Amino acid sequence: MDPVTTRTTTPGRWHATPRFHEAGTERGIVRTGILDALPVVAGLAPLALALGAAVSRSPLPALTGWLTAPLIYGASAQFAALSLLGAGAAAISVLLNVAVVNARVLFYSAALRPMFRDQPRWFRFAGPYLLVDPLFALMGARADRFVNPRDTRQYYLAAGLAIWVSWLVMIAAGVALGSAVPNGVALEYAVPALLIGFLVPAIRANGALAAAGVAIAAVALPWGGGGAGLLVAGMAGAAAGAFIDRRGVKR
Amino acid sequence: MIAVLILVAAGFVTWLLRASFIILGDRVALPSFAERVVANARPAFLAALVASAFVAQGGGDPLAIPLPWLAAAAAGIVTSKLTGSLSATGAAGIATVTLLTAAGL
Repeated sequence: MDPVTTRTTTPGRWHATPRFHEAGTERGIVRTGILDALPVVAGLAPLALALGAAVSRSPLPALTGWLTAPLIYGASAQFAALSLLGAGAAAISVLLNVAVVNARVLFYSAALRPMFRDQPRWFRFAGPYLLVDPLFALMGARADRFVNPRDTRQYYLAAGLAIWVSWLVMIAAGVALGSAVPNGVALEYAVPALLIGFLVPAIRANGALAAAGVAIAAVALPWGGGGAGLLVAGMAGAAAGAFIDRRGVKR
Repeated sequence: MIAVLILVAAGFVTWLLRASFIILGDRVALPSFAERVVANARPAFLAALVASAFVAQGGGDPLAIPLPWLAAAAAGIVTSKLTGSLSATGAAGIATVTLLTAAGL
């Protein structure tokens, strides 16, 4: 049976789902985007609450700390900005750190370029604001189902805005709760659990397997941690995957 | 006020990174190898993010990653392979890490 036409939409399920135009309506696309975002939001909740708690402990005014969410919108870069601003670091230091920590989104931008190719100008300028790790992963996981630019745009905005609004609200909740934010191994593991859920289905070919393997190995090296290490590890992995893919083509 | 201005500038820098290739579109042609690098960016960066979280949990030492975390990763991978469900993968991993940690492993 062709899975593309025989299964109904299930949130968080990447395979055997109908294409959007076959699912029927624009409302269905938006609904699917929001439903797909729900497990992401649940996984990000502990991180957002922890970030909010960090804002409440920061010497910065709470509103200024919370503004890292709508202005920078990215957990690692927000943590870096909070920490540096709280320590009174120079503006250039904050900007460079945020740029390094977020540099991987350059690759996301390049990878999503085909999906934005035939989009309206406003979307090509406004859409990237929402581009974070989980939305990039969702777009990759659902790419096979987009049959026209409108589908892509509706899904991207639905999932992206659901994640964005939740992120801002949960960080505000973390600021309000402060030190009352619960802690525990289950909450600490929520984000890695989410990322594994995205990673496994993304490994469909030898190139992707090599990319993941090399990236993991690179992170495990002594210099592998932190924003720059993460960037280098990701680049090394992607290059390894490209090399393997090239060999595959030659065969 | 200065902190807010710095954050606005940091937000603009972040947006530039996110929008760069999307706005440039087809005006920038990437070599074929670079296209393949980009095509492998998703598994590579997801794996790097996962590994970073695990190594951080081991205090920066990959050999010190707690056993419950490794077991949870294995449970998550198996669940993802079997179900393809993001929610089930997360639930399996979180349940494993919680149970094994409570068991004192």
